[in-house]
Amino acid sequence: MSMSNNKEQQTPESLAERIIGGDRRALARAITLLENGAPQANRIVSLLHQNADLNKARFIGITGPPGAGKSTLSNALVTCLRKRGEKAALILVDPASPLTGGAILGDRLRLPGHSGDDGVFIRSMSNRGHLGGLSPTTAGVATLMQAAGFKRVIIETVGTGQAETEIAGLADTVVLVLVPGLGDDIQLMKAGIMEIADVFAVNKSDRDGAALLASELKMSQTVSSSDGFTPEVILTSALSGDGVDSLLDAIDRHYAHLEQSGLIKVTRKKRIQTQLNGALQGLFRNALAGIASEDLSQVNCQLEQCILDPYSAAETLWNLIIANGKGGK
Amino acid sequence: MATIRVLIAKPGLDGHDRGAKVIARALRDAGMEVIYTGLRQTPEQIVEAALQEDVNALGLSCLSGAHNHLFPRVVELLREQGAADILVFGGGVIPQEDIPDLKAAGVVEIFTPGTSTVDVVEFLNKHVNVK
Ligand SMILES: Nc1nc2c(ncn2[C@@H]2O[C@H](COP(=O)(O)OP(=O)(O)O)[C@@H](O)[C@H]2O)c(=O)[nH]1
Ligand SMILES: [Mg+2]
Repeated sequence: MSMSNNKEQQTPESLAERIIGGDRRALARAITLLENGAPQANRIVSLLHQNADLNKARFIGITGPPGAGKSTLSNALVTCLRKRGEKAALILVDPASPLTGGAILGDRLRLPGHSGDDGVFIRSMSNRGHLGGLSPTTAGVATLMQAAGFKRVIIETVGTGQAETEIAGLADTVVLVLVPGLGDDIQLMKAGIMEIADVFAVNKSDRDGAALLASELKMSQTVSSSDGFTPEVILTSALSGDGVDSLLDAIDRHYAHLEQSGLIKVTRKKRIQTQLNGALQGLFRNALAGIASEDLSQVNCQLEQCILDPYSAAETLWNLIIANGKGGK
Repeated sequence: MATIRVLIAKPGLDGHDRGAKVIARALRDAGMEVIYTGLRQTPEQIVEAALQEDVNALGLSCLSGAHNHLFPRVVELLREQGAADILVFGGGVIPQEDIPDLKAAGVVEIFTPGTSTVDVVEFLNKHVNVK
């Protein structure tokens, strides 16, 4: 595999071709381009949509509160998938500091064991200030991984509270990881995050209270959703690997349900919308960044002196964006 | 909108990652994205992570005394992978007399105990060019 870094091999065409060929460095580079809103990134993703088989991959979302064991469980799932001969790519999203935009991405700490295995590709991402549990480019990054031949893409969201439900628009199957002792069950039932779970993983089953939490969850499911599907509740110990095989089986049963019921079409439509949203946000960020700095500082200055209110300022900036677009840079 | 991405890794067998964590936090506070991979990583693991994460720079921290072997090995592996553009720097308990050889081997800078984190931030801002 040629690893040369020269510019010629960085054209969207060559990068797309190398990604489809399974070149890991091309994949890594394209992810960076996408994250940074580089102009060639959208072109790469379009080319992949035209030339790669993007229908078969299954996206698995892993969400839940901080410390529940999402990363450890993702690691255990990858181990399990590898034993079954399946390749897996992982996206690990962590929050950016709201003050500096910087981030410490530490999830890889929990995934030390897959080095040297070409069947595994792991990428850490900052949410870059985006709310919702993912980053604006996560959907695109998952597409890149898919095009590189990963039929399973596991996406770990930032540690969620109650409202970070964006993963439901991207993943085929959302695994909600819960652990005993994180607050009472009323709290659980209030949370929007409960509604997006396709499978519940009650993790740290080696600890007191896990079995109780699992049975409480099961009892709360007396009303099943309109499509007649009741999310399974699986006890896992991500550390020891106990229950992880069963979790993977439950994930696959959920996917089979999607296929049999035809709901897979709905899931894929949602995914396309999520990708569209991400792409639009990217264009918007670039458009904002394309405003001349003198214009921007003038608007900011007027804002500070209260000559402009925030709404009029937004209008002014919007008009500048439109003028830029018409100018056809 | 490009952000500097840095991998902070600890090769070698010592179990002290306080210094590495202090650096990681300082870089985050300077607006960088820091991938932290934890203790006892082999050069092979470190380089593979750096490639997957497509980082601009790679910081190695070592207190076990094995830096003379481990740091150049990381640089060598990066070169083998065609990733010599990733800037390698190091820190930890490293005797002055070892520094020239490490630099000759391709470690761009060595930060010894007592270095201010401000210097590390400045160093990266100066040497890393994110397009
Ligand atoms: N006892 C026990 N600890 C676990 C288990 N899974 C994860 N942990 C620990 O929980 C802590 C947080 O795990 P992590 O995977 O980083 O959680 P995340 O924040 O949800 O990604 C770590 O110290 C793990 O070792 C488990 O099944 N049992
Ligand atoms: Mg995690």
